[in-house]
Amino acid sequence: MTLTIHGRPPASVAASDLLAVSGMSVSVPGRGRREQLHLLEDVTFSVGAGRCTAVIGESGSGKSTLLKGLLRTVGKGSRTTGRVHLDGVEVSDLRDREFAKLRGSSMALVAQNALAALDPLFPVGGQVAYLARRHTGGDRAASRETAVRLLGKVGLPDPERTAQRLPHELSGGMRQRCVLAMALACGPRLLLADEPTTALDVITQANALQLLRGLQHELGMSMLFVTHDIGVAASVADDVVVLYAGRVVEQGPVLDVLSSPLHPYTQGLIDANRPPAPGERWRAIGGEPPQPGQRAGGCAFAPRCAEASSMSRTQRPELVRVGSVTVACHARTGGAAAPLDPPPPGAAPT
Amino acid sequence: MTGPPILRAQGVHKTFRSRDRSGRRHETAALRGVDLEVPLGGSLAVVGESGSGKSTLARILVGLDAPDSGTVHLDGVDFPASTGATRRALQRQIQMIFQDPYRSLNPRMSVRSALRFAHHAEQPGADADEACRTMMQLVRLPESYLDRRPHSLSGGERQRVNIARALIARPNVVVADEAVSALDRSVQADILNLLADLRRELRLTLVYITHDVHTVSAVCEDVLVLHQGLVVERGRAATVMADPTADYTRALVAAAPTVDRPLVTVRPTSPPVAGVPS
Ligand SMILES: Nc1ncnc2c1ncn2[C@@H]1O[C@H](COP(=O)(O)OP(=O)(O)O)[C@@H](O)[C@H]1O
Ligand code: SF4
Ligand SMILES: [Mg+2]
Repeated sequence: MTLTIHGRPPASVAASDLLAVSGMSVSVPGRGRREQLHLLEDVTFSVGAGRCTAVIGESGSGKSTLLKGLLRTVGKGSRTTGRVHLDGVEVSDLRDREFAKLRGSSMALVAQNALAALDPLFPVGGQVAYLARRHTGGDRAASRETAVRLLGKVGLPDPERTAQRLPHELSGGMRQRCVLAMALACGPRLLLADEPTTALDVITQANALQLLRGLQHELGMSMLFVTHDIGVAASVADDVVVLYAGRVVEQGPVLDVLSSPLHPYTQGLIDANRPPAPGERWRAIGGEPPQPGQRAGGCAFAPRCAEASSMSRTQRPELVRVGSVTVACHARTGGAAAPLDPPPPGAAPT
Repeated sequence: MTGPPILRAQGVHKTFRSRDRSGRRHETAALRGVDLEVPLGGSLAVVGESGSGKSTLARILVGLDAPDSGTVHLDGVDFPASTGATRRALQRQIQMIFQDPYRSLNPRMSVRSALRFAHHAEQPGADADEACRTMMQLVRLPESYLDRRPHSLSGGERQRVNIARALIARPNVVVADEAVSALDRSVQADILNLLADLRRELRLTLVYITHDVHTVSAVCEDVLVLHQGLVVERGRAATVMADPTADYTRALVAAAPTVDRPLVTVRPTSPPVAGVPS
């Protein structure tokens, strides 16, 4: 395989990026005094305007932490560093109070667990209306109308009546739609979705994915979609970011990354997802990802990687652009210790 | 797979009756006449969405629950109707691997205690320590793990302990209810390989209960599709999954996205992002 190496991913913010994250690191206090556990390290990626970026990786790779870091909800004693641009504006320097205004206006979260996101004691319509009112400041009647309209928009039948229902009177799929309506109530530019369909049955999930994608298109939103399910990522995303042990190991357009993965970990994830012929063995990656605090120097994937070299064990591979994707793996970047120079302007990627 | 059925259920019905908060009565017909047959050494997948009755069926098959009507024959004997020593002997023959590795192990019990407990329940008096060590080897965990507690194990390791706990009674049949569903696919692959090895080594008969159509034909020879308590399709797993005939099975298979066959969702025709060739 011949690869063209095109140098470092752009550090600057492209005008067409709605969200640009650069060098984001998140750490939380560990068990010992002064010990910090690094959950995310030097994460750089972007979400294009009107596009959907999926974040994939095994559990513990830092997917949810990434969303929490963006929403500043990691928790007490945590440290989040790095730059975040939202819609061209740097938001990493905002004070918490100013930032809180963004949460739920420019960006909104669609939570995994609909039951936990909804208040069991109030009709779902009122919960959507409350958020709409908080966002637009309109009166009760207007916000109630907005709520009914949104419940209809997320495909709930008879939205007038559904609005009166309590969460437990609805099915799982319907509750997930209510949670989506709540996220939409503030007219976000960016939807952050954390495994929003994982708890749903497969047919319900397919409908929910179709709905999410349709609304994203219709409302011109961008979406950052966290999932452990590659099939789901392949279905909803335009771009994909592969996380391993708190770092980005590969990213690029979803079709490129999933049809010809470069990083051995991405390849391993895909192999483990392909059922073998009857009687044949599954192609497991083997082993499990390291816990934060137990990550070796060099490439964190080395203990599970068939292609690991001595360099892999001592030197951390940097993200390097290879064609349309960026990848962090010595074996794919010719053991280049440092990323190569950027390509001459106008050079065509292969 | 030929041979006499080791497990056979006929006309199994189960209805749950409950009252809601306002005191209204509810009836849920969880199983509405289910028949199944698994030959000795065979494997049957039971596939369906949540609420289709899969777990109810699993509990009835292993004797944790009784059917309202219908029979379950294990090794030719009517299992739910049996009593005393006959029942205990049958009980040992069929074991369940539970759904959720995070909740099905007692957090305060070491792995050794969990295994000894299961061992004692099935074979009081036999050498439990020897059995524990054998089990750890069987599920490919180091013996030192016997002294660990569930929270210090990864999801995959916990599921291995769960499997060991089910196998310590030396059953002929295991019923795995969503045994790998909570795991990452990468870990799932390991556990499914282990299950396949154990089936061969111990000549186990497997009932594999899952909502995940994706794994069915790789894991089982036969399949039965459950929808609202009814069997809507059954047959060879490879055939049914590749070419389903029931509308419901077809919908189920079509809705499951895979990396090679993603769902066709709306793809916004937004302008390509500068710098990222598409
Ligand atoms: N103990 C119970 N009491 C009342 N209803 C129950 C009980 N167990 C199961 N059910 C109901 O029976 C139906 C089938 O449930 P279950 O066997 O758990 O399905 P599955 O495992 O396929 O999700 C569901 O509607 C469920 O709510
Ligand atoms: S850098 Fe080395 S260990 Fe890491 S993924 Fe590449 S080949 Fe494997
Ligand atoms: Mg179940």
